[in-house]
Amino acid sequence: MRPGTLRFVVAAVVSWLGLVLASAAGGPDYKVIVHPDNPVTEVDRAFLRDAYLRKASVWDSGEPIRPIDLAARFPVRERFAQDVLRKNPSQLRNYWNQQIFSGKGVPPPEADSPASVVAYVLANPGAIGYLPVDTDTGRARVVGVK
Amino acid sequence: MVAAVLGGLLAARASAQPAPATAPAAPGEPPAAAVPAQDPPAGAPAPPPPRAVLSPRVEIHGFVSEGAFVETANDYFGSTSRAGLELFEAGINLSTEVTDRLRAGLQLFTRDLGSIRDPSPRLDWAFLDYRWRRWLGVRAGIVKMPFGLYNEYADIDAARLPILLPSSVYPIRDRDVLLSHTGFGLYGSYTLGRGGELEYQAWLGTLTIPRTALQLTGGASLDSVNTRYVTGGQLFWRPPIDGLRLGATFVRASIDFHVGLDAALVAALVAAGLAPMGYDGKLLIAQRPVRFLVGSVEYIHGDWLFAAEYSRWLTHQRSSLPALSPMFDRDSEKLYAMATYRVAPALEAGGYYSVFHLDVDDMPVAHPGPFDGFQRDLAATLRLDVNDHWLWKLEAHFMDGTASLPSEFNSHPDRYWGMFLLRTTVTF
Repeated sequence: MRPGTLRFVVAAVVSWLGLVLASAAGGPDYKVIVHPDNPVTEVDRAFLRDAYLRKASVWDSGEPIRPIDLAARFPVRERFAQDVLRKNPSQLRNYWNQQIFSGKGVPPPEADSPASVVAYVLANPGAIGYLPVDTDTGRARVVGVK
Repeated sequence: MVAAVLGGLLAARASAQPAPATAPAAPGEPPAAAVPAQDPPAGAPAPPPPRAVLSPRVEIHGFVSEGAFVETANDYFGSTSRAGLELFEAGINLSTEVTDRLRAGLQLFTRDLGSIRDPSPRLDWAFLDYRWRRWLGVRAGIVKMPFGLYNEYADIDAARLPILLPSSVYPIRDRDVLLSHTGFGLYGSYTLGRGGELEYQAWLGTLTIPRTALQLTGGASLDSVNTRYVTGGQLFWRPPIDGLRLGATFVRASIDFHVGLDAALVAALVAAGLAPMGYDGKLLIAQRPVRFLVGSVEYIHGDWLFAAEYSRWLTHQRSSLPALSPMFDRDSEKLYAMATYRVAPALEAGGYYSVFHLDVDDMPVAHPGPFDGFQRDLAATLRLDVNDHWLWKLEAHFMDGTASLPSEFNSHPDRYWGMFLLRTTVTF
């Protein structure tokens, strides 16, 4: 391997590691809430992904999972989709078009404000939602994301 | 009657779209005091206060797609012209969650792609879907058939980049046959812990084969098609590498084509000694079995998508009159590699290289011409999303070979040819 190529590979690996470490150091810039009666205190990203992609339908308690999305004009929605669903907006749009037009499912209902997310979660025992970190969650319970 | 019902439902759910209704506030639940302090974009109007809307019970979605094409030679769509506007598809579906685990839905579909056209809308899919557990669900009815990465989505222009999926693995003329089956399917997913996740499907049913599926010469007509069965399975493994999935699909089907020959053709065959005296003009062409194998890999990383598939289609065909309809064992090879990249939030570009060998054993009877036995397709596409419901696509194909051309419209095809397509699609 030529020295120039080696330097490029090393720089790329170091940059990638830097990005990974930087993202690991900071927590998510959203918070996840559930109904106050939901016994869950922590959820992992894989569960969140399955819930929001409608691949999982019930909590361990047997309660149906009812995810609620935020309207696309809230930047936290794209950050949540990238961090949890691992999809950019066009990939997510394609995914839901595939699900809708093959009859497999429809996206979660969409709230037009963070306050609506809180209201939805408080109204549905199996609901789960995400919000910008500085949003007042009222009586809804914030759960950890691992 | 149906239109009136649909009209009523549309009025009731005017906002039905991939992102459904607004969240409900529970009766008696005080509105939360939460307010988006910083997250809305600067300058954006303040979000409206929460309002009470019930979760959707019936979803209505649809799409309309229209386009144009120009060919430098040959006739891919069978439109009798090298340019045309016969690139139309439309569908509308209804679905509902009967219970938390039970879904029901149906989709009506119609298209006009040159000689491939539906005289009236037909049922694309209509099934009940009961998801008992994450690892086991069952679908019954007219169910989309899993096949490779994209067969279940072959009719959804808005769900992919290319206008035409790689024709080697997803031949446009077989779309109606392979898209769905009538029967049962099991599906589920299973987490392997650190080993990733498995997704699987298995099915058993029959195929609905249109009369245009068999290319017949003058004097012959297709009386009926009997698909005795179609069965298969698909397994995808998502290893613990974000965006990567690897899978395999196996399909096996048994199909009988019952063909009738007119009196003139029967008389000519008898006179030529190709059919016995007293021949009744009934011809059975049996494909028992047809087997498909597909290996698939897809990797999504950031704005990139890479996909590749390799497939073998094995056909064992027999005929009650070999002099008229050939008997053969054909082993077709199909493969492609594709890459796409989101250049900007609304702009995506990509391309693929697709290869189709009609018979790896190169049997002369299967492809009499010097370049009828293969087709290589180099394609490039641009996609512009005007908004979440409206898109435009521009696509170019550079072809070598003619194996996927309909022979009845291409008596003297050119080996090298090109095709350019423009298409717009609206979804709701």
